[in-house]
Amino acid sequence: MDELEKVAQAFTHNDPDQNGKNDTYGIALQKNLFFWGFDLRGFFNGFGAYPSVGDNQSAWIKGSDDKLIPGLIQPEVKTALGKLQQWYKDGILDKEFALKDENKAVEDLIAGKVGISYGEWWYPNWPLNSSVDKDPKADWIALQLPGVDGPAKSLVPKIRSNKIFVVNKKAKNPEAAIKMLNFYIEVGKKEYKDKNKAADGYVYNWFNPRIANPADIDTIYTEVNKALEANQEEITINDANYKTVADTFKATKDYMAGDTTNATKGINWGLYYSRAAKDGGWGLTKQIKESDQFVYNEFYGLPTPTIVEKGGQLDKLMQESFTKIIMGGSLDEFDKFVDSWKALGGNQIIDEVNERYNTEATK
Amino acid sequence: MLRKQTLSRKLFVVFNAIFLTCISLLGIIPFIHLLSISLSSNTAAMAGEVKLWPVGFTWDAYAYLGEKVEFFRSLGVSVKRVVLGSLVNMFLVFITAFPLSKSNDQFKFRTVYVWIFAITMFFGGGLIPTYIIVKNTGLMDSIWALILPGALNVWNMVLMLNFFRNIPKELDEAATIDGAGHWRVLWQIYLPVSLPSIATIGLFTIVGHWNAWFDGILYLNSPEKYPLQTYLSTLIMSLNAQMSSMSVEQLKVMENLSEKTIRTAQIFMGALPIMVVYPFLQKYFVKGMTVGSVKE
Amino acid sequence: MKSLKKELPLHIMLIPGVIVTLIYAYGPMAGLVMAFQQFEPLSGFFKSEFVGWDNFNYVFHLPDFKQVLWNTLVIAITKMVLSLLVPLILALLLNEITRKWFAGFIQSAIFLPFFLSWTVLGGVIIELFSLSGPINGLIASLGMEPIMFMLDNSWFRGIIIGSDVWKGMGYNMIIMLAAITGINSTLYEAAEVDGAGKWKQVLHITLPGISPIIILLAVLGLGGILNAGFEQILMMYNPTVYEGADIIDTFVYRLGMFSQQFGPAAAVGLFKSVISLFMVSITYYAAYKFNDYRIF
Repeated sequence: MDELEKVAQAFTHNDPDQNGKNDTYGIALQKNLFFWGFDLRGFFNGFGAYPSVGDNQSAWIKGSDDKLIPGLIQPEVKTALGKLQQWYKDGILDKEFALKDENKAVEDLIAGKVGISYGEWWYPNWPLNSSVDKDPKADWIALQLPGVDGPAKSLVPKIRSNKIFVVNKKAKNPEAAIKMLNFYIEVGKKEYKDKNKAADGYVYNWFNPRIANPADIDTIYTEVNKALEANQEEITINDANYKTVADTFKATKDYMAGDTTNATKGINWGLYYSRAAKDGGWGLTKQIKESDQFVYNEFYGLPTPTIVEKGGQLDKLMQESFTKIIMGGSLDEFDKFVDSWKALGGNQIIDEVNERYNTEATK
Repeated sequence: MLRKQTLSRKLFVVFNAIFLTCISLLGIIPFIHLLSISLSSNTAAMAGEVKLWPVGFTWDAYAYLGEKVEFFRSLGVSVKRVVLGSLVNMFLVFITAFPLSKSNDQFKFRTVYVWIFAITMFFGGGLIPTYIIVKNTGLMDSIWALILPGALNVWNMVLMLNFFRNIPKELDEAATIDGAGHWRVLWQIYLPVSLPSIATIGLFTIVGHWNAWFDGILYLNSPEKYPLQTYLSTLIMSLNAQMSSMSVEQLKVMENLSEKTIRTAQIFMGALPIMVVYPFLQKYFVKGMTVGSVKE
Repeated sequence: MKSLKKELPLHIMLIPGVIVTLIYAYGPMAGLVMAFQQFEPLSGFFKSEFVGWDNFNYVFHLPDFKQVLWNTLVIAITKMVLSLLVPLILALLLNEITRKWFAGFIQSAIFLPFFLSWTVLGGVIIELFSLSGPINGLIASLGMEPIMFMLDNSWFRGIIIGSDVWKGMGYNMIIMLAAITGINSTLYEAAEVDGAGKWKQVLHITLPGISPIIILLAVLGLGGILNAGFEQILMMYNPTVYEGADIIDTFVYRLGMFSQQFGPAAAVGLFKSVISLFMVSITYYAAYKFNDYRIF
């Protein structure tokens, strides 16, 4: 964590874009503190705090007595907030982060105004590819979360599915849904290479129902590296993954050769670094996974009744309190926040979540 | 009569002109900013470098929009919708406002009717019930779904009603004495005399129809029936976690056109026709309409 | 019966309007029943559980409701007043411009922002007032400390109100201008003869002449007393200014964060409608009693 601080300070104060102006800062952040990108999840994890997996959901971890406790109100969060406050004063965080949405945060990244961002393995794909295109000297590296004493553990969701497709039993052709699913899988093969693209402004692959197999990413990594090591010119496997593997392979080859006929350097690098590079997005994630450097969010599924009722209100409370503290408010506000959170429905939610965990969850 | 321009009047005229010009600039500058973004390169736009002049000048965004057949097709649909819809709207507004502009003695039950219409300005069932009704009246996937549900805009009707009330009663009486029935009074007297208000309300109606995009998404199933704004709104590709699963082609498309440049080009293409039509309607806002047929 | 025969054409004229309104405005109102139900889309209107006033109680008793209600009133009322005053002044000033092309240009320029949606304008305004934006640039060059406008409760409210008035002033201004052109020009000529200066003419001819329209706009504006600008605030707000700028609509919007809350949302909508109707009814009858003027 100290190293991170030093680097962040260098990004802030040492004029990295060498334009003589003090207009850069260290770490990217937008107004939603726990989001899908450019947010603080990873930062908190560095302090052993696990407040959220993003998308406005509070995370729940196993407490000492095997019950679930909400990561949001643990004392480690307070420590982390203190550090953030310090960083805000120091200019490591943009003074107006609370105004920025993700588009603005991305703008800053691409413009080279910020040097560090917490994020997920696919960042090189986007938005970092544009950053490389804008500044060909941009050299992004992937690192495990820095913690207080050495690398920290990432908080990950236990179950990653977020959609269920249902077909009305009165539908005339219920098998159409399955046919579509199979179609998407089939279309990844080599023989459909030329047809499998966007047309008329529509990306047909994005239409539902569509299943993305999370293991595919690992397949891409393995197959591309296999082909690279065997010095192949083309991908030889031919199954549903052909298209994605072939694309990444081609991009990797082009990047290594500096070939920009098919796509810009940024795009090639982006695909390569996110999926194939051994120390890149997926490569690093794979290592973290295999060395157990993560903590599960034990709560999954539909929100409990109180979460539905009071969730919006509690989230507002959290955003307001945390943002104020970061921007300079007293740290005691955190304790007040915890009390309010519990009184406004938090206690009920704790009970509901634990009840669900005890009766229904697979442990 | 001598009209002396006093010094204070001269000063006023000058300051007035300056003041209003400044206010006009306030209105124009955002457009210039957006136009510049639409003509800038992707990376410059994404990096937020564009202020009032394009950076990395390129027609790419417009070329992207313009080379699609769908663009021109939807343009045609929009024109059709605007013409049809505005005619229907203006017709209904006109004939509905007329009876309601009469006084209560001339038209019993007037107040009842008025409140029937007025209440709809405050209460609405919301999106879902409206959708259900539109579906059940067989308008789905038809241009009429974009015209009928809002065919009588009560707000505009109330405006027209008030304008009608400003028309001197003597005109009405003179015509009635000459034996004209309500219909003739409406079309032969009120119509020519209310041109400023018709132009005004007509403008709002045309603009409303031109800019509407959401109803197209709701009620139209076939993309070839989309009016322009609805079509343009479908071009904005949403950048979120989907990015991780994009293919090279998709990424290439994204690379050349950032959401920003496309969006601003879209805004321009959307606003341009209106800005062209506007001056023509302007000449109807004529100062000093002569009502010479009435002796005070 | 004789009056009915005379009035028959009037009734007939109202038929199309009434039909469209009944089907597409009153029909969907049946959906208001959602406000009293624990509405689930799959159960629809007929099978969702009836919960009486529960939805209302739930929303009204949420801790921040009072704060949110207050914000809504403050912002809405200020906007209402300014959206009448500013266009009025502009219309009067513009009326004094004699060169038609210049007047037309100004009118168009002022009306332009009306075409932009808040999805676009929101980002533009945030940038305008950001620490690295032009406004702070100006402030810095004057030697003062930069201000974080969008993160300060009072400034933010001011910006919300100001930008909304700016965006919409063209609309009301055009209506008022159309009303001004409707004033009989012989009245002005007579006043000149009597020696009245421009200022007196405005006071005694123009203002009274368009007072019906102003009253209309004011009363209908009052109907929007709980509409403080949802889309605008949603685009521009952030957690730091919730205290001063979170309004009923944005608050309810976030309530649906974890699961759609159709019932409560409909309840709030119904609440707002009732209040609007109430406000407009009172002022309608007040205007009638004191001025013998029916707004519609």
